Amino acid sequence: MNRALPETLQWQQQQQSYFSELSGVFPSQTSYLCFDGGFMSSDSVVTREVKPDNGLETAWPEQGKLEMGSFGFEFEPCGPSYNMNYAISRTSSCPLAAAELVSGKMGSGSAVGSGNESFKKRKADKLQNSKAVVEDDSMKKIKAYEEEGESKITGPSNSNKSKHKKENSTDTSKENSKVSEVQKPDYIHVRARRGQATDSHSLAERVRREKISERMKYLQDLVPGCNKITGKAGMLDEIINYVQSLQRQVEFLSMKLAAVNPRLDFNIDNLFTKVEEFPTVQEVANPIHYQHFNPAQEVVSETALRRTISAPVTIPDASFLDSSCFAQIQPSAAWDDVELQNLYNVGRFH
Amino acid sequence: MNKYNPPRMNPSSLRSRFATRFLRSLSKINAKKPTASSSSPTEIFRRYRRIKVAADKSMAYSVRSRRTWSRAMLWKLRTRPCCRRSVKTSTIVRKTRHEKQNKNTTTTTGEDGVVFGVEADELRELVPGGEAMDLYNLLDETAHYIKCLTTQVQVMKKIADFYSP
Repeated sequence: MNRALPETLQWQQQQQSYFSELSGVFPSQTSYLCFDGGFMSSDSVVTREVKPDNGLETAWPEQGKLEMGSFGFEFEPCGPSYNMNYAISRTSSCPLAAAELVSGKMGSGSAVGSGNESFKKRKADKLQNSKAVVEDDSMKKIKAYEEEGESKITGPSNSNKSKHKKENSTDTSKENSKVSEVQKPDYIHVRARRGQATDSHSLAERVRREKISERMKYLQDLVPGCNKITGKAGMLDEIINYVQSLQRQVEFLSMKLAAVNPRLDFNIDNLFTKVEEFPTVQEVANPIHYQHFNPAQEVVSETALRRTISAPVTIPDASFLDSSCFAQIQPSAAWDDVELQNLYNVGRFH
Repeated sequence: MNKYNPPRMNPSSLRSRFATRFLRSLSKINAKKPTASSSSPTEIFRRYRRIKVAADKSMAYSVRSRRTWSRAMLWKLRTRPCCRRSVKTSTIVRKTRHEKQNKNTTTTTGEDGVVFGVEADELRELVPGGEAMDLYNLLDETAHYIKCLTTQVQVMKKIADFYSP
């Protein structure tokens, strides 16, 4: 902050020497426009038109505070050389530097024009450079550009841009805003697009909408078969159907487990290994085919029978009584003694 | 005999946590049943209810209180009418709570509110604890809830398949 003061002094001295030079170098405003078109992407900044003459007088004392989307970012590589450009008329170091030089000169020209009054105001307002007052005034943009440059010199100030948007409706005369905003990490970066409203309400609304659409995309990945549906309402319907089907599946499986249970004893470890080693199971989006099995005794015994029959595939039928064969039965899961007993009993009657 | 060591999954993953809890509760449910009437439809239905509750509870406990839906589900499970006496009180409590939440339900402004009005309410009914959330949090909770539900379905399917091929 204190550095800003000698900078301005130096700046002003240079302005007087270079202003005339500038007017020779850049005779018309259109040259600035050329640079302008060079950097800015189509959706970067709110204002485009350059009316330096009008803006210079009015904008300078307020220390223009507009958002510079791409400007600010592109400005970064040339940041350190900013002062040097002022010291020496290096207009060709990079086009960005040239533009900033132009803007700097223009800004400084206005300062020269307005004299001491603006200088005093500048001293006081120098530190407000990160405050954003969103107006469709191009020179404010240029001023903000300069301020951005200086604030970048002092520290990382990418957050300033977003804070401009958030605070444009609030008071703009906080002196330590530059430093304090740098230290506040919890702001969300929002960039106003061309042709969109930039007041705080619509911005917050836009942030919210973007978050919601991001969530919807994530849900689209979760729910299978949602890629074809593009509308939000359709997506939500799909999600609702999927959640309902999953809940119904849980109910059905618990019913199935209730029916299957009575004959069997659960050996946790074996089940655990079985459960753990399964690969990614494909999910059934639609409700699975509900087997309408009556919870009757026949079914239960049938399942138990089926199980016992299918399990010992490798063993001949007559060898159920042989205990050694029981050892061979076990595939990867070691069955409990109770289960083996069941096997034995069923096998005997089979 | 060859020892077959399957590749171990992450022991602290949601799946393993749920599987452990659910299997434990399943064995408890099986242990306490009388074998006499084990196959009657009513008994099976009763067991089904218990298993369903056990599944939900295991899932909610696996998630702990990290998520709104799990907290809501745990609350619901704790205050469900285990004994008939407490039915009335719990329903009254639930009604007032629901009324309160109806007032507090936020509707999103802008075109989102118009689009999501009806479906969001349906979603709120489906996801436990979704009545009092705005749309963004609701979607967030729905995503996590879907993930947990799929895990639950997978584990239960595996168990069911293991016992009835």
